[in-house]
Order: sequence, then C-alpha cells, then structure tokens
Amino acid sequence: MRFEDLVRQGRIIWLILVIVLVGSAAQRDTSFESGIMSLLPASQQQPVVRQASEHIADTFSRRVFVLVSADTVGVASQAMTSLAGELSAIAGVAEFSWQAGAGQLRQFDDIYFPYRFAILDESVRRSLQAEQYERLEQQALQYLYSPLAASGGSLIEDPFRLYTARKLNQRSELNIRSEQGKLRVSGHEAPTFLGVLTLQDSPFSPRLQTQIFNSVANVEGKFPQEVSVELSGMLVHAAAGARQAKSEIQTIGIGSLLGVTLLVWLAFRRWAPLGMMLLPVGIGCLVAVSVTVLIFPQVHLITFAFGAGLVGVSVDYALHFICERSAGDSATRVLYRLLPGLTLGLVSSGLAYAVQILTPFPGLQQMATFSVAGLLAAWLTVVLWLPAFSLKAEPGAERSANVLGKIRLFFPLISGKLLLTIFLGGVTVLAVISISQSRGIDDVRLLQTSPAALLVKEQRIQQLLGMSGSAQFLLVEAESLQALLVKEEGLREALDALVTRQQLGSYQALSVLVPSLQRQRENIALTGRLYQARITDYFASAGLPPTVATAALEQFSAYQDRTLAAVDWLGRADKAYWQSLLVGVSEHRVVSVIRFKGVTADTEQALQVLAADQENVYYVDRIQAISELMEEYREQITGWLGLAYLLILLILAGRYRVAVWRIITPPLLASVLTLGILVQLEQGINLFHLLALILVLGIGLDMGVFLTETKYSPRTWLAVTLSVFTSLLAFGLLALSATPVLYHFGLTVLLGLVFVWLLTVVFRVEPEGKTDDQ
Amino acid sequence: MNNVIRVLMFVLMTGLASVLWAEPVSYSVLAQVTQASEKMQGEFTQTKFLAVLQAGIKSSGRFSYQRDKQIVWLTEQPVENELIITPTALVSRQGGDELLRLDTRNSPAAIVLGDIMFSVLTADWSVLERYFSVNGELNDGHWQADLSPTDESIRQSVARVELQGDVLLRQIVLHEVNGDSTTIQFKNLQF
Repeated sequence: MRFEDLVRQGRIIWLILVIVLVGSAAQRDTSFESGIMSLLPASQQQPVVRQASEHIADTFSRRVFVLVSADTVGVASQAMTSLAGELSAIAGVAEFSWQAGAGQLRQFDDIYFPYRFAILDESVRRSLQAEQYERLEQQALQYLYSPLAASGGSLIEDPFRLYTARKLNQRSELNIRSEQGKLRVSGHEAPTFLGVLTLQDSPFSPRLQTQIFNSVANVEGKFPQEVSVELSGMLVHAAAGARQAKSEIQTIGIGSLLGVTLLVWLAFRRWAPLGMMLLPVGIGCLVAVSVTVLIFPQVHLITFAFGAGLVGVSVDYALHFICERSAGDSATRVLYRLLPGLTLGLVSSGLAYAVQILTPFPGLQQMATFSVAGLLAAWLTVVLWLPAFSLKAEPGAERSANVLGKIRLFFPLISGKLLLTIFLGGVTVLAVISISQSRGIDDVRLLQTSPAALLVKEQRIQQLLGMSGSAQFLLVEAESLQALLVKEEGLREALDALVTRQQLGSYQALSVLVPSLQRQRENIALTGRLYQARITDYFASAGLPPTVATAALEQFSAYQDRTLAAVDWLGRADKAYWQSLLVGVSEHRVVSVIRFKGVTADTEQALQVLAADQENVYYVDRIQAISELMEEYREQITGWLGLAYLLILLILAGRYRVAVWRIITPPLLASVLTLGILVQLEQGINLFHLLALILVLGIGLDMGVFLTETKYSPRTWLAVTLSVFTSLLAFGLLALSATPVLYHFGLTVLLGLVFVWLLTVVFRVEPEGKTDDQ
Repeated sequence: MNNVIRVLMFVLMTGLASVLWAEPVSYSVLAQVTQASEKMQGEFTQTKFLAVLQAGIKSSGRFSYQRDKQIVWLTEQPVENELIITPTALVSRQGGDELLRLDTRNSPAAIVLGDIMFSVLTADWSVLERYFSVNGELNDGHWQADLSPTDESIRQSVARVELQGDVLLRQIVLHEVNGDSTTIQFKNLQF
C-alpha cells in the first residue's frame, strides 16, 4: 500500500476514533475536583486521618455563613426572614438554618439537669478535687445574693449551684445568641443575624453560585433601608475564582489570541495556516480531556490548566507542516520528509511528560495522561488531517523565512567564540550558585486564588463569629464510644494545661459535652464529699433552717446513681452539638475530633508530641499537610525532570551521536538560567515554576530536533521561531495573571522560552552546503 | 407570700388609679417620662424569695453604672461580694479574689442574663422592647410597667418583670419561672 493511501485511510479511522472517544467521555458522569487534598498519594495518609480530613473538608466546603446586617434589629430580622425564604427555595441548597432552636436552652436543661452531680463544669470539678469547698460555697452564695436570675433548679435540688455554673459556662461554637427566635451575632456593632447554609451541590457549581448571589441581591434591593448581606465560605472563593478566571480570559486570553493571530498572519499573510495550526491543538485538548475523563473517575481542575499548556507544544507539528508546505511541495512528499522529525519530537516530548505517570501522585499521573494523550492526538491530526487541506505555494512564508534568516545572522555563534563561551559559562555558574542557595517555597498561599480583599473580609467574618480553625485538630480513634471518651479525657489534661498556660485559646471535645461513665461516677463521689463537709454550714450561713439541709441531702441521694450514657445522649441531644466532633461511628470504630481555637506555633509542637505519645491519636494540620504535599511534588518533579533529560539524551544520542549536545543544551541551560533568575525574583522555587520547565523542555527539544533534521533550513527556523513565540504569547502572558499559580507558570514560560530561542540561535550551525529547502 | 405581694400591689395600683388620671404605658411613653442618664449610683435592698423554701433572703449594698460600659453591683450585707456586668462579661469578686468570670459573647445562657440585667437596671427601653412586651400605667409622673418576655430563650428563666418608677427607676421585681422572685428597691439615687 502506498504511503498516500495509508494516510487517507488513517484519516477516516482517526476521525471515527476521535468521535468515539469524545462521545463516550461525554456520557461519563465525571466529577471535577479542585480540592488539593485529593492530590495526595493514597498510601501516604493514615486511612482514618484521610477519611476524617475528607469529611471535615467536605462539610466545610459545603457550608456558607450568611450574615445579614442593618441599622436596626427589626430590619435586619425581617431581611433574614426574607432571605431564608429565597435561599430555602433553591434546589442546590440542602438546608438553611437561621432560627434559634426554640428550646435549645430548655433542651440543655432537660438533658443535663437530672445529671447535675455527674456532669460538672471543669472549673467546679477542679475545685472539688482540690477540696476548695470554701470557694465553692462562696460562689454559691454569690449566685444566691446576686440580682441575676440564674435558672436551674431550686436551692434544695442544687444548693451549691453546680448546674448553674455548668450552664453559664457552656460555650456555643460561635459568638451568637438567640434573639427574636433568630441567631444574633454578639459583639457586632450593627445588628447582625447569622444563617448557616448547607449546600447540596458543589460550591463550584456556577448555577448554584448565581442563584445564591441573586437571592442576596434581591433581598438587599427589596428593603428601602440599608441592608447588607455578607457571605463566607468556599462558595464565595469559588465564585471569585471563576470571576477572576473569566476576566483574565477576557483580557489575557484575548490578548494572547490576538497576538498569535497577528504573528501567524505576519508570517504567512494568509488565514488558512492559522486554522491549520489551531486544529491539531484543539483536537489534542479535546481528546486529552476525553481520555482523562475515561481513565480517572475524578478529574482535577489543575490537570486541565497545566495539561492544556503542555499540549500547546503540539503547535510545532502543525507549523512545520505549514512552513514546509508553503514551498509548494505536495502534501504527501512534505509529510514523508517531515515524519522522522515529527515522530522524534513526539517521542521526546511525550517521554518528558510521560515519566510523571510513574510518580505516586495522582495529580501528576493525571497531568501526564492528559498531556501524552493530547500530544499524540495532535500529532495524528497533523499527520492524517492536515495533508487534506489545500494550501497554495506561499511567497509570504518564504519572505518571512528569509527575513528571519537575516535577523539570525546578527546573533553570534558559540562555536569558536571564546569570549561568548566564557560569558555563557560565567552566567551559568552564577545561576547555579543562585539555585544552590535557594530554598523551595511550598507555601499554601501559592494555591490561593482569591483576591486579597476577599481574604481580609473572610478573616473578619471568622473573627466576628469566633470560629475555630478547621485546619488543625486532634483525631482520636477508639473501639467504643466509652473508650473514646476515656481517651479524650486523658488527652484533655494536657490540653487544659496548655489552656492554663495560655498557649491554647480553647478547645472543643465530645467528652466535655458528655463525660465518660467513669468520670461521671468520679464526679458524683466528689460532689458527695462536698455535701458531707459543707451542707449544714452552708444553709446556716444563708440563714436557712437545718431542715433545708436534710432535704438537699435527700435530693442528692436520690440522684447519686444517675449517669448519662453517651449513646443515650447522642440520641437525645441536638445533632448540631456533636456532628462536628464525632466524625465516624461504626461497630468497632469510633472517631472523634478535638478542635482548637488560638493555636500558636509552640502549641502545634506540643500537640504533635501529645499525639505521637499515644496510640490512635493523630495530630492533623491540613495547612501543613498541603505544604508538605507541595514540597513532595516539587521534589518529585525535580527528580523526574532530571530523569527525563537523561532518557531523552540517550534516545537522541542514538540518532545524532555527538551533535546531541546542540539539542539538549539550549533547554537545559535555559532552565538553569530561568531558575537562577526566578530565585532572585521570587525568593525561591515552587512547584509551578518546575511544571513550566517541562513545557520549556518540550519546546526546546522540538526546536533542536527539527533544526538538526532539516540541517537548520530557513523554513524550519521560521516554524520553530513561530512555535516559540506563539507559545510565549499563549502561556507567557499568564505572567500578567493575578492568580498566583498562573503567574508563576507564565513567568517561567516567558523567561524559559526566550532563553531557549536565544540559546538555540547561539548554538546553531550555519549551513555550509545544501539545506533541505535548496 | 408572692401572691400576697401581687395582690397588695394590685390593690395599691388600682387604688391610685381610681384617684388619679391614668395613662397606659408604652415603651415610647416610658422613654419620655424617665431620665436616661449616662451615669448613676445609689443604694439597693434586695429580697430574693425562694419559692421552694417559702423564705426570703435579704441583702443590701450599693451600685453604680455607666451606660453601655459596666454595672458594678456591690453587695455589702450579709456577705461582701462585687458583681461587675459589662456587655461582654460577668465577673464576680470577693475580697479581691475572682470567684467567677463569664465571657458572655459565646455563652448563650449568660448573655441573656447580662443583657437583660443591663437594660433593666439602666432602663434601656429599646433593648427591653426586643425581649419583652409591656403593659402598665402612668399616673402623675409615677409609672408601673409589667414586662412579659416575648423571646423564647428568656422565657426559659424569666416569667415576668415588674418595674416601677418616676423620673428614675425605683423598684424591680423579677419573677423567675421556678417561682422564685427578686425584689430590688433603690434609694439615694445620684447621677
């Protein structure tokens, strides 16, 4: 079969394959993820930690705090009612809780009052343990004489006001109070009510975002008075991210598209080449998405962002074809001539990307799959489809190639130029020194995409509500609920010590809400001793008859066997009390979380030590975990990038022998110089700089391979130059982005590609005899 | 005994009402009649009636307040105790020893107490309006107001609050849900 027929048949098969791939991917119900934790290698985390972290992160990301403020309480309250009506009607909203549970305090009484001797406030317990009976008595008298209406039983039921102390000391998770049956934020100047929105759908759903923001705008507009609604939660960040992306697509995106179009038009003076150039990249990305979706059940959004960048390298293939075709040769002959170079380009870039599949990181595996599939698809499209386009001989391309050839001659050659060699050597040494003194930057803030103003607002709301951070917590695992509570109580001794030393603000734990049975029996015994020692004196000092003391003692004996089993408590107490603390309950395994407020760096270490000392207790710091994850990724990519260079060197050495240095050196040196500069500009190297260097490697290799293949023909020069500068416009302009991730990627591509081009020019050999185009 | 007081008060009130022209009381009327001063101090006597014991516990002392800042409630008899109420905390001290400190910002039970005490003692009608409905009479500059809680969380502990006064608040009777009641009378008020 002739080559031409092979291409023609392949064309149809490829079309069918593309349709099948895209079609079956479209059927898939793939979820798109943006959570960084899902990029963590599966084996690295304890399953229990992973599950709990996921549970917490998921709950957290689906929660939106809604604050409604106005000048008067009445208006704020009405606005909240009105907003609640709107929000509850949205399908993607699971729940909007904005009403103070009518009987939350009464429920507290109902649940705890019968167990007033068994479940004590921690301060009372400590006084009892230290036998500070005098102090307890004074406290009780103070309640007795104070003008405050301290509810909770009569003087006979609870003479020492143990229950009152507990009730008054109970803390709500947030700084809120009940007012007009709603949740009023305390400590805020303007009357403000709180509602908590739980989302059914993902916070990234644009539809849900729009619906919620519309409801907010409706309510704000409905009142003649000033009403302000503030939202806090992942949804707000997701929406801001989407808005920013959209606006950047409109500015940077359109800018780079115009730039690419102008460049291609200037080179060819025709429109057809632009279409021929974009088609393979488009098909490449489409197939890449389809393949990734088919292979992975969950696709990470980062995969798309960077994968698409890497597939962009394939613009090379089309450009070579177009440049060669413009000389007027037949499509088949051009293709036949280009095929070795194209294939080598594909194999080398593909290999550079593919090594990442071997890493244990799901994120890198996905990205590698995406970019390899994309490259292959783009290559097939160039080889099989582009010959079908009719393209007339183009004098424009020839002219551009000649102009470029003249420009090129202004640049010196490295061969035989001692001064230039010394200069380059010196610069490289400087860059290496700069790199060797650098440190990796794996700050979680790199991943933040939200504008600073939003982060400040978010922080203000969190402070106002007195929210505990969700990033750090202790995870406690035990076989049964009782065992878990006992374990927590053991840990709490150390935590209380930290609180006393003011190294820790406060903590929340299940065992505070419902102590272990063992602890409850201890408490009853402690209370019994107080009664025996003081009850008669106490009533006498209040001027009450001894009969009252007898009655109180009778009450105590009637209740001294009453303990509250945790299981019963879970059944009776409002779920809101415990669902954020008890993260997993199964038959032989119970997992709880101890959450903190006000954790300092010193405390972190103390907590780590505390967890390390105990079995089945884990200290989880999600921010730290993310930073460690990024560090790991950064180190892995550095390693794999080195390996990719080595592999490519070996493969290319097979074909080009010693001349391989001309191909490998430009991207390698460009990467070193870029990193050297980045270290100075950005105080260190991060993961996204390195990801961009993979693109630099891909483009640099293509340049070297094609130029060597065609013996540095002017047409190839045109093609590779266009390729570098279109990529520069497409990705380098991301350096203008406000999103840190894109900015770092863009800046690296910008520097790297400029260096690659300059170095390739400097490392060239000027054709002495015939080149391919003569 | 509680009932006796109520009957007595009722008789007293209706008696006065029949003699003089009476005007129904609303928060705006109260705000007009009473003087809202920034600072005030005076003496108090307090009787806490404990329903279950059918007995009253008496105490007396001095108090002072700065509107929106703090109330100092100094019990001198029979024991010395100082209670300081601020918008964010309740602190009880005895001989320099801190017996109790409650951060009322995130304690649902304490905050209601603090807030109500604050607004009752300083006759802050706009705050009381949020928590209570009012009924009562104004008679030749003397008024009597009966507050019923409208807020569920207050209804847990407070059944009713009776206030009496003229330009200034003179007496508070706080009826708790468990039948206890606290009567506070003010004397020698200065501002």
